Amino acid sequence: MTYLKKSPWIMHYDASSCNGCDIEVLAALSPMYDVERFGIINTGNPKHADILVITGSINEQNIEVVKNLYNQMPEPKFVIAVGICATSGMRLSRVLQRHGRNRQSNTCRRLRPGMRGPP
Amino acid sequence: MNQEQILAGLAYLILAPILGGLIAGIDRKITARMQRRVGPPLFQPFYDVLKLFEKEKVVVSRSQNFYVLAYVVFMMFTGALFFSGGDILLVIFALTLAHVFLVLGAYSVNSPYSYLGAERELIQIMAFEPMIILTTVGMYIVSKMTITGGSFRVWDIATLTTPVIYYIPGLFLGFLYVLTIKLRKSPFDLSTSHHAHQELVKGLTTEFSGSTLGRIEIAHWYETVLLMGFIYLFFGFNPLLAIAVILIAYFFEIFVDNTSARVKWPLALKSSWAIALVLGIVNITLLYFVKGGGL
Repeated sequence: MTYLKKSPWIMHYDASSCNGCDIEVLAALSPMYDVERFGIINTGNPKHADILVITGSINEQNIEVVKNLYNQMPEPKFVIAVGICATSGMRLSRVLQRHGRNRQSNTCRRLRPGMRGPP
Repeated sequence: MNQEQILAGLAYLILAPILGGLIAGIDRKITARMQRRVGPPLFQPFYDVLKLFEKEKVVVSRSQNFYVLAYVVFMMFTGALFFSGGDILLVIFALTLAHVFLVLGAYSVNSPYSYLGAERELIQIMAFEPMIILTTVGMYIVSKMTITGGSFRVWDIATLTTPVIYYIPGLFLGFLYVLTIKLRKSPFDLSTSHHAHQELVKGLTTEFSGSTLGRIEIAHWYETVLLMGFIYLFFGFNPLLAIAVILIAYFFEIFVDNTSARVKWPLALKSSWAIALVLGIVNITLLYFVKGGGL
């Protein structure tokens, strides 16, 4: 855990996001905000990742994909839900396919509420 | 082998990971500055590897960790052999063997990304070999001028008083060209790369995680120091100049890495063989005629 704080590698998964949060997540990785100065690297490989970043609300279609990705990550691992869709599904609360809150489907340790989490 | 040489070999085994990690840290910092970013701290590569050793051990196939361990051990052996002044030809073949173990490790898991990465790594080994073997031949011919019968021993070549670079500048340029392949830098970062992970996921290292991935990274640090040692051999007559050239050469590699896009594998293979043929063979032939060195 000591060094995990100094080099958290993320993997970003878009679970039916409207792209608003995706753009914000990617903007944080760009030279302007440069999260690599905190040692954060976007890996794109669940076996190398420490943090699963989820944008958008998980639904029946992609719940299996998210579970598969989560299970492939070695411990210790964390999940961050970015934006209001991922944290509570507020914007889409009337849509039937939505699979409850992400918190119910896997252990979400940190929430980033607000429509489009700012970088 | 005298005591000094054994000490140099031991010093390599202990200091090379530290030096290699620092080089990687400086590399990332300079890369970040080139992209107008702040960049990670200098010790970031060490944090990364220490974190990887803290992670859970996930093993896909039983043999994969054995192959990676063999890769690290042979990389350490190669470097120790080089710095303790062993036979340079043996150094090259041991280096190849180390990489073959890494390729076997990638083949031992059932993943298409890993397979493709392994195939590309084999192509990279093929692209690298001719040039580096010609380099050693050139060094042998130069060593013949002062040592009767010539020598393939690293220690003899490093302590030559003749300016090696003056006789084999073509081989040096060719070596710089293939150095990009070995340092896994763009445009030849085909099998796996430190950035741009999205192609082939992570190629060769896709299926390695936790401490195994950390070991691969440490082996890469060992290799970086070994390759810098190769550059030293061209400038053995003047150690200060050698260190300056090593710094410039590495900076040049970072510059190329940041300004070029990845090429397809046929171009990587063809161009490095063409360079080996043109610069290498022409250089050695000229040396043969001008100096009458002979093979």
